[in-house]
Amino acid sequence: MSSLLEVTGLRKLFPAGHGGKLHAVDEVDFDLAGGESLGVIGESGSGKSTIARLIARLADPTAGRIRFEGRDIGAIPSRKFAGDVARKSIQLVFQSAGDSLNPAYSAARNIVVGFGSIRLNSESREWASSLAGEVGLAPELLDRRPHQLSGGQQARVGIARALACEPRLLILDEPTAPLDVSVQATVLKLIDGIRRKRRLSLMFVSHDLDVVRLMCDRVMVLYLGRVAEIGPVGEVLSAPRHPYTRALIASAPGSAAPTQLPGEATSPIAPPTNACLFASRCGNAAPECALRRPQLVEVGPDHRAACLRL
Amino acid sequence: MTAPPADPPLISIRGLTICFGADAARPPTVDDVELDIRPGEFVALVGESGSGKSLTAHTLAGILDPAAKLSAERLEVAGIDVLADGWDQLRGRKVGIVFQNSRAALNPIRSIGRQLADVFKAHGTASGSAIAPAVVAALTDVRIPDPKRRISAYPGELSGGMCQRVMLAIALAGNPSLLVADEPTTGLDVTTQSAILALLLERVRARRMAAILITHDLELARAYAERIIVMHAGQIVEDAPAAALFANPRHPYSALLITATPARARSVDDLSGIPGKTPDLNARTPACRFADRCSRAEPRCRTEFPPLRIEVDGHGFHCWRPL
Amino acid sequence: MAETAAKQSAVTAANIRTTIAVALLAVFVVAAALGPYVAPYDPLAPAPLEALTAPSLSHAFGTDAYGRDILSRVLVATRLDLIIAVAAVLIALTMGTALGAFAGWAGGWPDRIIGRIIDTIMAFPLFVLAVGVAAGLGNSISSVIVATAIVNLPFYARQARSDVSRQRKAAYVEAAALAGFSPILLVLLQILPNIAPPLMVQSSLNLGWAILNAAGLSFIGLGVRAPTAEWGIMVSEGAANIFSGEWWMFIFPGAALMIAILTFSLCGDALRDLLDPKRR
Repeated sequence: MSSLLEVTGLRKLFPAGHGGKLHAVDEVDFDLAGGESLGVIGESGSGKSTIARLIARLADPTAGRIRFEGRDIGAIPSRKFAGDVARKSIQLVFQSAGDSLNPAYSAARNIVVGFGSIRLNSESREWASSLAGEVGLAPELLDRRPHQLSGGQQARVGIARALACEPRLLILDEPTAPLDVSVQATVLKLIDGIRRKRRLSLMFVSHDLDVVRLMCDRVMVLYLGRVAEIGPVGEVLSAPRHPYTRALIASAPGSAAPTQLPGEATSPIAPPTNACLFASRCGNAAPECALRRPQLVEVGPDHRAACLRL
Repeated sequence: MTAPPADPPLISIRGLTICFGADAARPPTVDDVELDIRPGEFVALVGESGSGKSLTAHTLAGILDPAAKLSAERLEVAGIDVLADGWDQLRGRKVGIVFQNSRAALNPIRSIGRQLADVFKAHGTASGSAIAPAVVAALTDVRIPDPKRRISAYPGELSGGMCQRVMLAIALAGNPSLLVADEPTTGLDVTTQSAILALLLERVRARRMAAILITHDLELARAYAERIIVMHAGQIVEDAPAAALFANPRHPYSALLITATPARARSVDDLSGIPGKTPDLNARTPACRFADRCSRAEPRCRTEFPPLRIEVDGHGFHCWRPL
Repeated sequence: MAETAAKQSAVTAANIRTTIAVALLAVFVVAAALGPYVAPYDPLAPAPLEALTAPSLSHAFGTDAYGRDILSRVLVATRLDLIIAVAAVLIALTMGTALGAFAGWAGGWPDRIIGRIIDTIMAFPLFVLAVGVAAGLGNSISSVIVATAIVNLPFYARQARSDVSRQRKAAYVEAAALAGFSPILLVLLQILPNIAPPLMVQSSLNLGWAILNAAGLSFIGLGVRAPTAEWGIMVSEGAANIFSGEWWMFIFPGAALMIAILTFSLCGDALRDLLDPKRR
């Protein structure tokens, strides 16, 4: 079965001070099948948000290929992508829902933006209402402006707008991070329900392992722009093979054996190409880890990790 | 919840009420809070937005917003009767505070060494030639690598985690008996989070200080605190030893909060939200502010706030129909 | 308590100001619309026998050197002055916003080039520019409008450029791009409604200045020429007669100018209050 999304060799470099380059995303490969949910886990500087933006075509990759439904959409510059036939099939739900809504427009009109217009006639109003119902937004809130809505309500409007595009791939960039725990729970259930009903593929970017465990079939763990481990979520979380994944799991508050990562992360500016970036903090490092860049190797069915010491 | 007779409480609060705004008819933001904390106790104050947890903790640290109107029957912190003697003795000296956004709490144009020295001088915990070594010792205590070199560093040069460590050092510099940590790791990476909290716990234990950790994260509270106080819309609803709270929550809100936490759920279907939202404060707000969201509410809940009931092991709650 | 009382009196003061502004504006608009029909005398018809008469029952504002009724001329001039001001401001607003929005959106070279053009415009004093325009387009009312428009354009361009450049990266703009909005539609339909308030407030204030500009240009002989009735040119004619004692010739058109500018200024304030985000 061919995948919905195939990403190979994805790189994104930003100019940093003094002529150096910040390697935000550095040779990332992954696939996403139709109807599948992939979690993208990483801390700050891991490149997870950059990857989300690259796949959503809000930014252009420095190198690498993004194939969506068999077409190389990475080659189309982002400023021209608005007119592409695949534009609406890939949608993004932003972390800060409030900022992602036009403050001058009502919730209804913001949802209608998803249809590609801002006109509120009886037809578009009806569609907006039905989407609002699908995301659990009370109808009387449709005429309110974003600043008159709570965080959870804003998140729902953002999701409704994304759904208005009838996407096949929905990318969610930490959609519940700013929300209260109880609101987060409701929104997560909502997203899961929508995913099942519409048979969507999801890319769920998060820093929270538990959320990814609940929402995703597979998970990709990122460290400083590179893939550390990727595989089925149950496998990776119960039997992690990469030392960083182990450290992440062990750092979670409820974990049985809390450990702390020593030191600080290597700088993402001009990092060594032929070395493992995690070596300086790794409990299992060996001299070869500073000499070769680890590639992803099979450690189980559909489960790969990039470590020289497996 | 109340101290065993031999050990007088470090903090004793009765009837703490905090209001904002001129409208006398509006229910107070923090409503009749009652709290005792023993020396050396590690307490977590857990709640969602609007719960009043930050206001309560800021009151203890003596840094309540001047626009707030506070009233209490009793407010004793570390031997100081605040209602009688005022806040000055309290701030920095008896109570240290660590904020969420450490970089914003540090002076950006003053090196961290100088900022620490300032605190030592202000509280008289070190003076003259003893200051420089005290600063290095303080930075070593919070595990900042290469402290001698770092004393001349500015906050802008340090990572979020480092800034948090510096803020902890500053909070501890006055030798307080209580540390208030207001969401100290929210916004930090999970690996940094666990390092900072472990450090905080270690330092607090080493000095036999009491600590209050304010957080919205129940799991975090459980991992680090012995005792958890749950607040909802300005009211304390439950106050129990951490394990007891999770094993046997008595207040419906606590129970719902636990099932809303992803860490506890096996699947998405296990997760539950909480109906309604934090109530607006107006004339129609019920006496127990969870009443409108509670499936167990009865008419009494709207007219009378349930008094404290304490059960075995100091498990306290405010509910007419506990679970 | 004290602060709510202070706030309350500020709100009341603002309401009084708004009422006065709207009332005055209404007066001017009515005068512009109906002036020619209600003027007691033909503003252009000379009556040498009645020249230089002081205000009286038959001539409320007196007569000028040619015996023309000043009240009629002031009334009729309202239409011309308002048209010049509105036209100039409209052109400055649309062209300035368009230029600035384009510069703010595109960035890079277009931004730099437009920036230099705007800087150049700002370097020219109005009168110098107007003379240049008049030299190119001829000495007519159109040149007055064009010159005034050009001189007022930079504010809109800079405001639009800065606002658009900031909003371009906003999440809601990206969200609309995700839904397939093209760059032009993003600027027009997503960004513009959010950056409009300061531009609108400025246009209102600008109207007052534009009237003053037009009057000033006519005063030095550019644009409007005798015997057309226009406040500026009337003040110019009156200036010649100050020392001979015919004070009414410049006072009344001057007062009309002053009150008109004040009106637009008050309207600008009222509009700013109305569009204040805290009240929306």
